[in-house]
Amino acid sequence: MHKTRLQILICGGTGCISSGCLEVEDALVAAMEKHGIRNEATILKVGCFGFCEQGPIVKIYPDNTFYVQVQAQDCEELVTEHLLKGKHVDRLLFKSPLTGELCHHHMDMAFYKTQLRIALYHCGVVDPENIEDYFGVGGYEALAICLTEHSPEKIIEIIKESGLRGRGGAGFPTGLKWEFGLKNASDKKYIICNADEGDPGAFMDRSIMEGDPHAVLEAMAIAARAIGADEGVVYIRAEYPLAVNRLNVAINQARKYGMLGENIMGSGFNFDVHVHLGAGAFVCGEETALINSLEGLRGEPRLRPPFPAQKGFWGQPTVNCNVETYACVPLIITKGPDWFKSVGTPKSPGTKVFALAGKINNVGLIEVPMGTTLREVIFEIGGGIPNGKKFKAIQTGGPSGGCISEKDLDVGVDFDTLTAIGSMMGSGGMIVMDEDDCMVNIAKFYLEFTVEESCGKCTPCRIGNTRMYEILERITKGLGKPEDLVELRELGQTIKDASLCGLGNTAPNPVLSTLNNFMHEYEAHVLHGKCPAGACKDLVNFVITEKCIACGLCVKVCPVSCIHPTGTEMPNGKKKFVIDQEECIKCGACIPKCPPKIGAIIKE
Amino acid sequence: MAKVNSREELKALREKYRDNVIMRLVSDNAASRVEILCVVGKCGTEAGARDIMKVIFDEVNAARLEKVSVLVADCSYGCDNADAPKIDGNFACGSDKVVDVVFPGEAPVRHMKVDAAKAKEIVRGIAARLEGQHA
Repeated sequence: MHKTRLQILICGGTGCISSGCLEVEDALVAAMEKHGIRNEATILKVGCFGFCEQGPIVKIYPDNTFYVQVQAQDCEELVTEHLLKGKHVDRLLFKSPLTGELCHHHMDMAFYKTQLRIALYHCGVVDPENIEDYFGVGGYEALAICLTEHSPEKIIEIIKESGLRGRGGAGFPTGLKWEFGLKNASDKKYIICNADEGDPGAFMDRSIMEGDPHAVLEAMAIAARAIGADEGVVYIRAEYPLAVNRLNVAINQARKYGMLGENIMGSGFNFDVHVHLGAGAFVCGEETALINSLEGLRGEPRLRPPFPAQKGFWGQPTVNCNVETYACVPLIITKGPDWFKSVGTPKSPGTKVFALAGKINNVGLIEVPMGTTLREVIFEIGGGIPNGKKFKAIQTGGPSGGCISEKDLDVGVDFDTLTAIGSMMGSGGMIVMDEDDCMVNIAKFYLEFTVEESCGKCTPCRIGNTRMYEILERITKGLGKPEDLVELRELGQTIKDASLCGLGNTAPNPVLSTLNNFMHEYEAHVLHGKCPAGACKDLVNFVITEKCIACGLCVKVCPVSCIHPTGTEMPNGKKKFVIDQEECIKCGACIPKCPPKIGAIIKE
Repeated sequence: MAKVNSREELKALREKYRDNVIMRLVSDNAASRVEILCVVGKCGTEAGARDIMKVIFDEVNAARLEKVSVLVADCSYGCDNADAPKIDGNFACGSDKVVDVVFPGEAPVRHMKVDAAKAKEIVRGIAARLEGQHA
């Protein structure tokens, strides 16, 4: 049965690789050999566990112990204590920041308690580079069912019944999309997997491909069977080398076992997949721009209709879904649509993976049922805001999502509720902001990204967004006028209405949502020339108050030497310091240097 | 590796490779896991406690007891402690290889002087009890 008494899983996602998991693997092997117990454990590199903040993560089975922030030098102790004596190494266990308790198992942690994995079901369980693991968990069973039991119409009926909606952001019903693909007759059809994942900070698609690539391939084959396609393409950005590699390994293994290729499982059905590397343009996440790019053209969106399901890749009916959408499909087939619908909200069944980032304690990848409130995500799973700061906003949906304020935190997240409060699901990025973030500056930051990534094909997006950006730049420099705020709104609405594709339709969201939720910050900039968060450099001065004890710590750290003694004598005989406003570059380096109990340097 | 030609062949692969992953699939459910703790303190190890553990592990595997985990535990007597109990001049765990069996939610049952034959008997006992639960 078991090949070894123990199985040691090391997180092999990109996040943990950059925090040193490969060195951990080598050190663990070396330590086990040294103590003569190398044959007692199988060591596997698996997909992302999600708690990237605490990487590299090492999980030891069968006692299911979850170690965090393991470094190569910790491996000797892990072997001598845990493997040889069965004692947990307490200092490598996660300590709950709230209760101070040690968490031995992942389900002890608030981060995992309310999570539910469907898209990431086998991620962190199977060895992504070994198809045999995937067979072991029942992999390709859903495809076998679709080939032997279900007609294409039946497959589509099941997907429609499940209520699965596109996880790439738009939330279009997947079953309906497949139905269009089936109904448009042609002797050649295509299946595309959109793995362009352009939202900065979002990495769920990458993690799925790195952790469970066969689920995506299996789902693509099911989609192909449903619409009558025989060729599939995974369009993935070239800056995901690990995901590309694991996908290629998976494709080759699937071909060897006859899960891809001709006459799959003796059914007469043919389907093969290849990987296409994209250059990472944001707009290529838009499906028609992606198809243009695949055909070797400029990544610009096409007019719709005709929709890709009618005339897509090379003019043929094409179904294009996102990685996370595909990852849900095999389980919907094997467990049934009712099981899927039992999770989430009536109009958005299932779960959603979110990439939690920004001013939050537990940065990482989470999957929760649709309908989970933002408050739960931020304060329970996310562990709240670091350094005791106050929550200000959460931005969902990537660079073109909206900023949601405190008042909407109890909204259960799904496709429709997020749109209703002026943001969107997008691909599931969630960036948390605290009291130190200026919302005008944030809106400018995101708009800068979309301005840069706009393909330039349609005027509203190309010129409109640039004009909005210029206005925001004026405001953050203290040169804004009250009428600018009116113009921002008008421009934003026009761009949303008139742009050709999703990029332009959503680009003004950060500005419009911050205008709605944080108008007082815009007014402070425009009417009073102040930045309440103290983030806009042109509107803030660093000042040393009377509390100064003339210790001189700030003088040493100032990179431009703009802090000088004044003539004012302090009670201790020293002379108070002052910041020369002409020379100051507002880097803020002096503030943390001033001892907290003194706190003499403030932003004005 | 030959190509899979039917759903039955895929099923056979699933059965074959279930062994790869079964430990990971059942371990998350602590409530149904039976633990066999082999005490491997200093003198226990010197007396061959790890060999006994190997016998137990092989026996668990042979019986395909998926819910049974074979783990090690440190010496509960404290071998390095001069006051630790001794039998015939040897530390207790050195002469008695000690194995604890823990069913979920129950107190551990301690087995002393475990040799290969007794180890097999312990596993058979667990198997019989698990069988009874299923029936």
